[in-house]
Amino acid sequence: MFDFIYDIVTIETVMSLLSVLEGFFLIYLIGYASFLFLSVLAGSNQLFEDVKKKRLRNEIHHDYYVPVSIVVPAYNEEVTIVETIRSLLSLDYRLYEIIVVNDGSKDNTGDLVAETFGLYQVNRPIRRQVPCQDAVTVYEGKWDGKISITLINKKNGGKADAINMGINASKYPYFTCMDADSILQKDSLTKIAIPILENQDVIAVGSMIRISNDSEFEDGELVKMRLPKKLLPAFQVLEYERSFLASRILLDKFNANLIISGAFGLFKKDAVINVGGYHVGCIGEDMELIMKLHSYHRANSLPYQIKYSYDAVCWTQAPERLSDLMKQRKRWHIGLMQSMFGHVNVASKPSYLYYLFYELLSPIIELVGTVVTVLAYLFGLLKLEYMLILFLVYAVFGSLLTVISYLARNYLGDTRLGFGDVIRAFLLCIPETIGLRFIMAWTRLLAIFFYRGKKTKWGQIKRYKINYDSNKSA
Amino acid sequence: MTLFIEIYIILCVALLIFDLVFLAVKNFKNYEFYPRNPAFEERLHREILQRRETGSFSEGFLSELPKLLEKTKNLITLQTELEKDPDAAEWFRTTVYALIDTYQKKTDYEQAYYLYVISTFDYSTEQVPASFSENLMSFLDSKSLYTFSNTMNVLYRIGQVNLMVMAIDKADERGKFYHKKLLLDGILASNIDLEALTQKLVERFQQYSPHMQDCILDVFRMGKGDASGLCMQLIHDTDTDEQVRYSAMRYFIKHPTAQSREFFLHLLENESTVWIEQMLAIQGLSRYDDTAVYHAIKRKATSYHWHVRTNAVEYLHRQGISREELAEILRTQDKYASEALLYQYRDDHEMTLFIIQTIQAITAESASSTQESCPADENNAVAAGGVDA
Repeated sequence: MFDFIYDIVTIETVMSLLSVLEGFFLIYLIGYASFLFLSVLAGSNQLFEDVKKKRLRNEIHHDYYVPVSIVVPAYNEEVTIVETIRSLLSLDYRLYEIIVVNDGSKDNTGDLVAETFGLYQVNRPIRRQVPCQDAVTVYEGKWDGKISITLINKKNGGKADAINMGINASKYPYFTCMDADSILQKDSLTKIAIPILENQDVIAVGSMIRISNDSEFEDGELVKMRLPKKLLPAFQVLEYERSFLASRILLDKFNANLIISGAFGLFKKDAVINVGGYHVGCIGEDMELIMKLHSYHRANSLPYQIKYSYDAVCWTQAPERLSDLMKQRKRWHIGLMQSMFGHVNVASKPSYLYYLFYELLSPIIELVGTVVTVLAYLFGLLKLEYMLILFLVYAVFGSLLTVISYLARNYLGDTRLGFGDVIRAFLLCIPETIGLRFIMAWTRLLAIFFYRGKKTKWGQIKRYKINYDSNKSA
Repeated sequence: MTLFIEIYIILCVALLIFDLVFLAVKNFKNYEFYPRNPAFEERLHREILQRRETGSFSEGFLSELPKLLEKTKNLITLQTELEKDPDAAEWFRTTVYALIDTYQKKTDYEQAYYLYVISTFDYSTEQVPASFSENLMSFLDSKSLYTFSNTMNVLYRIGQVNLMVMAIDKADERGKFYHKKLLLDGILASNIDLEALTQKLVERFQQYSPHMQDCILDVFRMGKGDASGLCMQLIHDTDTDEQVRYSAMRYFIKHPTAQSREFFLHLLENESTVWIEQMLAIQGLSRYDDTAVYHAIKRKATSYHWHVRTNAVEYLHRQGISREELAEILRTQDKYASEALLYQYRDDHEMTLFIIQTIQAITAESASSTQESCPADENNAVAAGGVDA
């Protein structure tokens, strides 16, 4: 009955299929190499240009600030929340308010904030402009008589729901959202507001997320940058520096960034309200919002810019356990999938295709590519030495560009590295390219294959107290 | 297949080499702007010292200086010295002014730097020569935002009305130049005669784009000078751009007149007025406490719209509304008005208690009257689990 299969599936057909697939895989790799090269080139060029710009005072030097509401959604963050708010209180910015949204935490998050910062309960009505769960209690207070702090204890509804509540309660025309376990660098709000001052069409600005594990801070300022001692966070440092320096700067030049990290971003409130706020029920709410903003402004032919400010820095904790990292990346990949499939109308943007092939589908393509390469060798289509050289060049190329990004970011920016860290970066870049990338590809593959609809729970990874002020802790 | 692999390998190697060479070249070129010219630095230092002690530079120094400052790196060295010793700037300003033609031909970055240096001079005692200001205005045509921005900084410092008007004309021609807040704050923080500027801008107002008109109205509102005639005309003209009209209304919030009072009162009394105009009207009347205004605003405490309601409640709170009148509003059983009132009195424990008790009494009263009028309905509701304890 199935004899015809034997007629079709001959050794010749299998070999031609392998040839085609291997050809596709190699073109894919050439595309990736070219993109990575262009990104690193554009990123480092930008850094050099910015050094020159600063030196020659080509900057919007301003004493003029746009008022900003900082929204901090929190769920079971009693370990880090107080230090996070303290870091916000020492920001080098004139006009801002802090809104902490406690999303039905089961721990002591809400009480801790209210007690530490001397907040008192008020009967404050909150205008619903974007959907969110009800507030249970609202606390208010002023720190130092200047900075207004609001704490909203609400029913649990997920991170997107908590940010929406923060948007509803905010009083200023711009807002930033950030993670409760992150630290904003002292000048980060000033830096992230500059693209808005430079161009009134800017509706959102992304920031550079850097990893704080093992680095030292004093009063909200980095005093010693260190590559973490543990392998997993150290790999993530290299990965973040490459990703945030390279691809985002390149995509920014074409108004093509499809992600602003949820850890720290600045938004024009009206623009976000016009698209209905954050999508409650979506895992990758940060990317989904940016896709919605692109989609809405393009559909209505409205002028807009979504910018990336690499020198607005937010320090965040990287997961130190592999299981936490895998959980985090699974969530991110599902979020990516939901956002991309939910906004196919943005597909005409070249960056959409980049995200589709080199982010969303990359684990599948890389898996198939690796299998096909091995099969091509087994079928005699590829010599062993070619196969080994291919993998070696792939690893060395990716690793060197990673190190270049890491070194360029630190030497051309405002951070300095110790000699030991430079050596470690060289030693770790290859295992990062091969090891971490492989594990992450596998994790993302699982995320695609075992995706079972929506999950709106908060991502929980093990938190450690932030070394916000090394003087005090010492 | 091996061909593809060879292409991939060659490409990767070539790209890597290119990247490394590119970074090395860029790094080398950037050194130009970190001048290490100890001879020039030392000479400048010596000359400044001599000028301070003897009242003059050494012979030949001033004639050599323009040639030296044609190089951007030397200008950077000079500026670094002047930042350490700001009083010395006045001895060099004429020489620096004379370099304007040279720097006009340089790159955008260098132009912007030159303008930055100019913007650091003190203009309170000495004005710029007319020929210099003419050339200065041409920098506003630059495509570079920073050249534009630094030129504007120079103009804010110079503080001449005519130059500022010309700059506003040019900025308007550029379209959306940068955030209007920068222009507004720049003008307000400048040494400019705001009354004279207002007068000039009022005369030329109609020739500007709505974006610039909006910005200028903010200058009128936040600054000095009388623009009430123009603003009154704008708010009555329904053909005016909506945002411009609202900005003109905002002018009267800070500078109320008898005419604006009548206009805002009329808006509040008209049921078909859109919410934003109602809100602006309440804000525009906030300085008045006569009966007509008070009652017109009091009616808005139960408005459907958030901003209208909160502004009205804020006004009533400021005016010290009596308990009887408060109870009157609460008796309307408008949940949102009650919320707004409760929040407005958040710092007044006694009034908060009064509001809460009044709400409770009204709710109880209304529940008992409902029970008396239709007991069957409540029984049905209880049976259906519809009564919220």
